Amino acid sequence: MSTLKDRRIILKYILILFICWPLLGFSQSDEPKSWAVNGYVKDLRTFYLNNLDTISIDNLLHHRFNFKWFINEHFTFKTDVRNRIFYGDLVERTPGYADLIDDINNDVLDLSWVLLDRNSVVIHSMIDRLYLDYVNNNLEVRLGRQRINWGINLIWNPNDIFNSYSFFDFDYEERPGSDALRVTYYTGASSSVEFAVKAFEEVEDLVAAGLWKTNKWTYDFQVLGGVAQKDIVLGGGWAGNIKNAGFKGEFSTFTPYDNTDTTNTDIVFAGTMSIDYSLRKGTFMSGGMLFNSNGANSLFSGLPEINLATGLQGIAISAKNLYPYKWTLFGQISHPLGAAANAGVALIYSPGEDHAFFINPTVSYSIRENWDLDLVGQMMALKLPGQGYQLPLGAAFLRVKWSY
Amino acid sequence: MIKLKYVFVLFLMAFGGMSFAQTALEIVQKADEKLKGTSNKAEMKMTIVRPDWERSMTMKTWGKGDNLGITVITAPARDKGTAFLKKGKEIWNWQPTIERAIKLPPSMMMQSWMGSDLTNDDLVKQSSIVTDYDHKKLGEETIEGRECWKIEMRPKEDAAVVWGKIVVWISKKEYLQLKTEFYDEDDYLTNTMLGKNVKKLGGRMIPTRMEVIPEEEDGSKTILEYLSAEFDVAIKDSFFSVQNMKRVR
Repeated sequence: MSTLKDRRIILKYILILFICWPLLGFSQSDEPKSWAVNGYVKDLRTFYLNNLDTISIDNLLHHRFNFKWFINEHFTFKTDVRNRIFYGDLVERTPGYADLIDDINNDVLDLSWVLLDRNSVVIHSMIDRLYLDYVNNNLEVRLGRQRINWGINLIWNPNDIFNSYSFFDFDYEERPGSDALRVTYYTGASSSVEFAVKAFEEVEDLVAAGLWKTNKWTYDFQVLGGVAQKDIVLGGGWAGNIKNAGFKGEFSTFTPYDNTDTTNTDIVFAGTMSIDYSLRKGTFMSGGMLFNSNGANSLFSGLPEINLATGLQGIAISAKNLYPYKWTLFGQISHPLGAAANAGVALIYSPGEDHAFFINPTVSYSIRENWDLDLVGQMMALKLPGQGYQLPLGAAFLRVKWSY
Repeated sequence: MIKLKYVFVLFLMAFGGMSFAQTALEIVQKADEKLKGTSNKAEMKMTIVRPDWERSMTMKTWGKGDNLGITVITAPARDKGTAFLKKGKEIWNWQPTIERAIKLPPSMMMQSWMGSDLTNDDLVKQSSIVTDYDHKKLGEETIEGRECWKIEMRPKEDAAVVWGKIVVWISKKEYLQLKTEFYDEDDYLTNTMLGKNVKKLGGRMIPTRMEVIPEEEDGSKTILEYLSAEFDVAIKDSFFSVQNMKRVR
């Protein structure tokens, strides 16, 4: 439990964070202004159940602040800041918790700060967008920390080579940014040529690639090629429909270019496809598969050691390794409950020796305008030799979000 | 002489007939043109009314002809910046939080628009009441003191259309779409839309408030109001692009 002093510090911080808004004087005026401010405050309560044995409860109070300045008709400046206050059982039990969360999601520039690190409270602040945008007719140049989202498929994105993130971190929908330069030239309504390069310290961290997007036969197509860390990457994707159902897919091959590097010798292929369909009454269904040539059939011979401090969310992935198994199937269904709520469940199954299941039920409820409530479950089930199915980790999340 | 008189009467009838006996298609075309112009720009407010709660949102729309359109949500904060681009029969959706343009499949068009009684199709107008339907005059009726044609529209066989049938009441004088009934594939009445508050906006007499009332759901409706509208404005075709969908505000 946090001490009284800690509580005071949290309170002080909240005041600083939250009092600033009125000063910014954001209003509901309809005329576009030369700047825009928005964001949200959310409170995430996490209940972790480890091996059906120990439970830990943690809290995350989160304020995201987005600022955009439309300097003139050509230039736009954008910066987004995430401020987070962590407190609870895991924070208290895990030594070095602050460093642990400070490490993930940063790129070359160090734009994150641990503002407070006590045994039960950590306050962390991070800039995950900071860029200048230049637009001249069909040309767009963006320099700085930005999200380069090249994915076109629904669930997995082998073309999303600039970012690595955690598949399970549903609470970070914006995803981390890359420190990069990106040049886009739009050649049509939904076609473009794009080139991006990410800042790097070591040559092996270099990511530089080109993307060509085009539209034909009511399909969007894309092709990409370049260098992604230690590999030459070639890939492509599509988004279209079969009858009324959405049909999307994406694939990439990663070929090592340095023959002398014994740590990276295999050519890796990642390919995925998905189908989605919506019924009139609001039911949404989707299904898909992923093949990862680098994936395993069996990952665990015993109960996996999951770093409890970061939980499933600490499992970082990249376009090259989107999911740890060779073959994976995905199914999802959601349906509105009345007018203000929606319930759904997603299931990921890997038919290897582990027969690993990941089950992800969600319920969302719109309390009122700009107030949302989410209940999310994450459960992992594995078949272990001689032990049958085990539940190494279960988690439940309760989230309240206020957007402004 | 009698013969000549006869010819004259015939001539009159034929001529008069030409001006009065418009086909159902022509009437629908005129009503459609009335709300669209060659191009248009509007700001709208949508209110979803449910027995126990109410939500509202505002948006801006741009349209040109039947094939080009952009809609961007301006409030509430949660959805601000979410945009839709329509080009021909294709639709893209821009999600600012995840910074991605998603191509929407046709089945998504049947989905409710942001939890309202309108479908995505109603909003982005992927289907056209002119070209995607066959039209038939059913008769004449008076709605809110205005004489109207009652027209039935059934989707053409190959049209990607949400409804099984639409019945529309269009005023004879101003070509105002005053009442519309939407039927599902089994010919069951699903929604009724009423055109209200007829007044001059953007230089045209139009219903500035639409109410969509779902059948079998007491106390529920969706209200769509024009806050402003302009017609026949100069918009380049290149305005309607994925690039611009991300930028409009």
